[in-house]
Parts: sequence; structure tokens; C-alpha cells
Amino acid sequence: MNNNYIVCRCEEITLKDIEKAIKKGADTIQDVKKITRAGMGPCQGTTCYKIISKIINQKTGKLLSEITLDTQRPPSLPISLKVLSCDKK
Amino acid sequence: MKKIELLVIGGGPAGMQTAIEASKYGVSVMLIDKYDKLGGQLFKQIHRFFGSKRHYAGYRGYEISEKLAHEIEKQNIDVSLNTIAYWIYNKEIGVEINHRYTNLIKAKKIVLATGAYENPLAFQGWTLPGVMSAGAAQTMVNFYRVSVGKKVLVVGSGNVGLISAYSLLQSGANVTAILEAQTHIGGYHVHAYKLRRVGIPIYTSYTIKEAIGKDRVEKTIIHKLDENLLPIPGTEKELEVDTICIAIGLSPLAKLAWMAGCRFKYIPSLGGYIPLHNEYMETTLPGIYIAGDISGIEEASTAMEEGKLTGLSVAKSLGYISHQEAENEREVIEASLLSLRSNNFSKFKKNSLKMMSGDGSGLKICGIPSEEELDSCPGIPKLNKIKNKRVAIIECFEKIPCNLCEDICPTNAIKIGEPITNLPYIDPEKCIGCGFCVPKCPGLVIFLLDTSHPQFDILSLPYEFLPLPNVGDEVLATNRSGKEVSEAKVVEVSDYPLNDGTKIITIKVPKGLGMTVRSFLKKGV
Repeated sequence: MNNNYIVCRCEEITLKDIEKAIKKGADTIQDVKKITRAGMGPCQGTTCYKIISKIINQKTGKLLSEITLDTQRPPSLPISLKVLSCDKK
Repeated sequence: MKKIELLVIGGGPAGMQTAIEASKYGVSVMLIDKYDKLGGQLFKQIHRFFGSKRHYAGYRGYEISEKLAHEIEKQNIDVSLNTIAYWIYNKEIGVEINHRYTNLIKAKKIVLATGAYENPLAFQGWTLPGVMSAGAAQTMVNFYRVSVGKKVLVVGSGNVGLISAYSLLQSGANVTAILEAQTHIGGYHVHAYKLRRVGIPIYTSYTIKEAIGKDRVEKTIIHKLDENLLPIPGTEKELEVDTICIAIGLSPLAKLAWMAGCRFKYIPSLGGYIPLHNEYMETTLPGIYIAGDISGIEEASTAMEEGKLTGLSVAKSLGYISHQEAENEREVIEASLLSLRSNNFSKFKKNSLKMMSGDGSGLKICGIPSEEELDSCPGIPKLNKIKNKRVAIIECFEKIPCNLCEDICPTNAIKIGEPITNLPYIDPEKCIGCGFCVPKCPGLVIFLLDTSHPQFDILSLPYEFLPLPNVGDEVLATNRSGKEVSEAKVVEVSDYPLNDGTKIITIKVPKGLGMTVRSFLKKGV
């Protein structure tokens, strides 16, 4: 067993990728996201945010209550540029 | 840009109830939902809900959603479906409609009733086809009527896990086991009990280690956990399953509140980060309110009450109702919320958790009532008091906010009283054995026992599986833990429309087994 699996399904980021980022010093959701792209796919981290929090908690000992949600920016879900440009009056 | 008074985001039980309540006082409301149908998660709930009449209890989830949707139609509330709120800034909301165009809505007040999402569990092989959330499995079997697999493992014994396991059984799947990482069952014990008595094992202190398969799940390895929830090496077990359903809790879906800039607090028992709010359900941003699971994971009945509270608060803040009137109304809602929360799934969790038996065995650990629990249950009459008549046996052991049995009893033989979480007491003298209560109980724990015959006992059981047995069929009677104890014969199959899908099967069991038998299996299945 290679003990590796995908954590962020949208961007196909694996457990090993996340652990590597943490080794580099990442200890927030935002750090991990910026280094690995985890949480930047269509679901915008809805699924993997909790898993990454747990990994950070296990690897660094940082409390779950200190690992906050990442900054939320619009659009909260993917919307095509074509749709964005069709504003109904 | 569209300008309105109140925008409610999310058409689940909380959002619908908020819209109904606010509109009742004259507020002009717009309700938007991401999907093409109102109801949130209610549409896939085919089980009956606990509660009292005020909370639509006794109805199945999808029926409640139909009732609320009907109310919304009656009140002429502006509903926009297939509408995604993707952006929030001050009181402006950007929405995408039908995946075709966007619009901007400016509202005086905004209610976020966006609900929750299911927690993921990552393990080796969790991305294989066949691993899914329990909610997805429920949607497939209960709504689309598509089977998810033949042999299913359910991870998590909270209400979602237990209820999905039951739905899967009803869909014809075989539930191999239910795992629970904690040392005790998480959900209502009546839900666990109805699975145990048809022979489904629940392994406490176990979790999944790995899912194995080539193109999809073919088997799984589970392992035992110690008191710190760490795996104990050497305790691995292999189970042959083709589907794994994950039901390890929910988290509030609060992205919009986060984007808006609401202040949050981390409360693990409520599911994680919760937008801070006052007693009027208003967040730290004036004019932005929340209702339902976004304010902490609870049940649909609580979400509806919270929706009422939010709707009322909005109506008050817009001046449609005087302060005094609103306060009076709020007291009524708060009292109702308090009664709903006086059980162990509530915001006041630990205080009121009072199990009848302590540690060791019993409902809490294995889902099967112990001797001691049976002895002290006020709903089970003593055998010597029920000679020569048919009497209801209510095996309700847990403080659930529900009084449907008391409500339906025509002779007042069942007493619950106040608070609504009291255990039902049955007076065998007054009970006439009519059986009205049997299909009404959402926990399916009311049975009818007739011990008057000298050669056999006659037992009536609530039954929710298809195909139904036929009168005259020989079946295998099973006890509370699903073990076969004797042969039995079906003597009556009743399916009254009023019972809303729950059948009552009456079987003849050998004399003396009436208090032992609690279910049956069809022969050769």
C-alpha cells in the first residue's frame, strides 16, 4: 500500500502533495491552497477544506478552531463568463 | 437591478418557513433556491418525522416539503428556482438563473438559509466509484429510485447513517454493517433498534481503513479504534461490499455569510464555523439573518421553528408587527424550540442526555434494549396485567421530542404530557388494542400483543418492506437482535390508506414468545 490518495478531487491534489506543502511551512488553508491549488476547483474547497484542516491539525498540532475557512470571493460557485455577461434587466 | 424587501436564500425547511412567516405579516418576499424544486433535503426523506402536530410530525419528509410548498403558493410568494446566489456585497446579491443569465437583487433584509453539506472522509480508495455520501445514496434510492449497490457498508451511526441504512434496505440492498468510530451509537436509538431487529450489525469503535477494488469498490478493510480514536493494529477485518456510504456528520454551508463579512465562531458540537447571531437570528451584519442548519446542525423540525423566528424578526424590523406582538410570538416559538431541543441532539446537548441504562450493553452501545431497559420502560406493560386482551407495547426508551402516540390514542391510554420528551406510559386497563398508534410511531417501536389464546401469542408489527408477505405464509420470527427464535405464521396483512404506507403484519408465534419476537424474516430470503 502506498498510503497516498487524492484529497482535493477537483484539482487532483494528493495527500503527499499536501504533506509536502505543510513541510514547507504551510499551516493555513490558504497556504496549502496557494502552494498546491487544493480548493481552487469547481467545488471551491467545499469538500476538501475539512480534510485539509484535519491533515494540518495532525501534522502541525494546530487546533481545528484556529484553522479558519479560507477567504471567500465571488463567484462562490463557478459561473461561465458568457453567463456573467448576460445581465437581465 | 431588482429591489425587494426580503430575499431568502435557500428553499429548504428553514427558508420556506421564513418566507411563509414573513409574508404572513405582509413582507414582500422573494425565495430563491439552487435546485428546480423547493424542499431542500426533505424531498429524499421517506421516513416519518418525530415531533408534535405543530412540527408536522408523523408526516414523511417529502410530504412536509409539499405542505410547505403549497403554503408558499397560497401566499403568492415570489419563488425563483434554478437560481444560484454566487455573490453578496452589502445588501446586494448576485444570482445566476437557469445557467443562462445573471441578475442583481437588492434587498432590505437578507436571510441566509443555505443549509449544510456532508462531511467528507478521506481514506485509501475513497475516490473509487461506489464510495458516496449517505445523502447521495438517499437521493438515488428514495428520489430517483435507482439502486446504489447490493452490499453496502455505512460509515457513521448518526441519524443520517441509520436512516440511510434503513432506506437502502427498503430499496432491496443488503446492509453488511454500520460502523461507528465512537463507543456508542450516535443517532436515535429507535432507528438503530429497527435495523438491529432485522439483523443489521452496528460495530461501535470501528472505522474504515481502506476501500479496495479495480474499477469500483469490491471490498473494504475496517479496523477498531482505541479510546483516543486511533486505530489498533491487528484488528483489521475484511468485508465484501460494493458500496460504501459515508455519514459522518454535516457542516454548515456558510460561504455567503463568510463572503459578506459576518463574524464566525467555531463550535464543534454544531458542526464547525457558525455565523454569530443574536436571539432574533440576526448576524453581526445588520439586516443579514440566518435560519436552519447554517446556524448549527439540527433537525428539520428545529429548522422550521428557527425559520419562523427569523421570518418574525424580519417582519418586526421592517415595522409590520409591533415590538410587543413580536415578543409575544417569539416566546411561543422559543418555547417550542426549547421543547425540540430538550433531547440529546440539541444545542444544549450534554445537559439533558439521560439514558436509562449506563454503560456496558443496551441500546446505546449495540442498539438492542437490555433486560434492565425493558424492565423499566413505562411503555411496556407487565405481562400479568395484559392477560386475555390485546394491548399496545411501546418500546420507546429515549427522550425524543415526540408525542404522536399520545395524540392518536382514542382512549387516552397513552400518556406523555409535558415536556414532550417524556417517555410514553401505557395504561393497559384503558388500552383497547385498536392499533392506531402502531403505524403512527416514526420509530416503529409500537407492537400489539394478544396473549389471550391458550396455544399461541398473536403479535402485530409495523412493517415497511416490499414485497409484503401473504396471509398464511410461514415466516421465521426473530427477536430484538435479529436472531431467529421460532417459526411463525402470518395471519393478517393490513394496509389502510390512513397508515400512509406503513403496513401492519400480524403473526402467530408459539405461546410465551410474544414478548421476545419483534420482527420476522421471509423464508428462503
